[in-house]
Amino acid sequence: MTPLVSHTFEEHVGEVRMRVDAPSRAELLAEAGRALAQLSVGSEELPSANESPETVELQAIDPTALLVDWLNELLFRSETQLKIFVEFSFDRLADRELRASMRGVRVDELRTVVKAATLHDLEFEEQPDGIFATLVLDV
Amino acid sequence: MAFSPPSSSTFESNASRSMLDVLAPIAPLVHEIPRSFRGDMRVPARVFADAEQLSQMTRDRSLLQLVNVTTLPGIIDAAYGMPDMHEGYGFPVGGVAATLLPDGVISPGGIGFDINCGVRLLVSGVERAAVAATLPALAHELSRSVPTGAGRKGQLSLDGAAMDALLTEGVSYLIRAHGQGVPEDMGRIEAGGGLAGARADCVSDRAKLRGHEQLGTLGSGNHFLEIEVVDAVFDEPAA
Repeated sequence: MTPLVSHTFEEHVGEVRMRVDAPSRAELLAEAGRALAQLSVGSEELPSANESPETVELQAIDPTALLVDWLNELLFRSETQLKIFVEFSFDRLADRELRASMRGVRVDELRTVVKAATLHDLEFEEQPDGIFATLVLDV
Repeated sequence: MAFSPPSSSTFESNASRSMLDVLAPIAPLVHEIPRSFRGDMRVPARVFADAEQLSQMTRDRSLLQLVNVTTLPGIIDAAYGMPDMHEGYGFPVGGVAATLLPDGVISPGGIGFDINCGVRLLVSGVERAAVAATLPALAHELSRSVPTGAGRKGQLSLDGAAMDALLTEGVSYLIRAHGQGVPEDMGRIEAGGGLAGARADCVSDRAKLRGHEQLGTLGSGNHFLEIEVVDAVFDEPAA
């Protein structure tokens, strides 16, 4: 059975632990991005994108590091532009690199400021029926 | 008792519970995990806690993390766990350790990677009774006048050479070039509000850009400002 795209925020003593499930890497990265946006605005309801597309190109040592780098790139752009990103498409996605286009919307403030996506207790598992990842976000 | 180090990051807090068996009281509210607990420990681990606090520590991996801290090269005396110790990244939050120069390691994990996340105490000399009626208004004014959180800019905006000067010189630059404060303030800030040998060129442009909007603000995340009442002074010269 193909897993649904979903994310949950799990209990953690001092940070935010996030689990993301998706049937493909591209959907996993997009869902993780939307999860960050939800954290940023403090709501499950996300506004529609109205800004011009931005391009992201990343290279990393493996798919796990690529996921972490992807989230940290989103965090950087979100904080420096005061913007959340809600639409993602991937022109290229391999084990160690990606090229993505994304669109966002400006916000007045970030309700939760995530300092970084970390490698701490990181889980990333690809199974025949889908992928899941668990990350700890430093807040 | 026998103990095998965890082979993965998914070590469960059961190990912390087993540590309760080897925690030996060495003084009132002071407990020690001896070096014999694990072969790679360089010093013992000592925890300041009562029974309830110890019980809480077994709910996460903080005791295991404190034992891991004892393995740091150059650590001296012991790794200490404070009463509020809880799980962190590698180093437990509320863990304390000292390493000896010249070969002791420097561990960013010991401060939770929040470099120079500090505390400033401003003393007013105002009596509580004199402001009790206006405290709500005072709190409101503080929240309006002290920008905090992402999206609340400070009044100071420094770019390029000015940002580099601030990163290099610290507070003295703000006083000298921008009239923010007076020289006497520096005597009340750790290291005079600047670090000798600081090099702005070692800070990436991305880091400067990310920090730019928070300059002159309280910061974001778990930063806070609060009004306190001094009930008693225990160290008159220091106070």
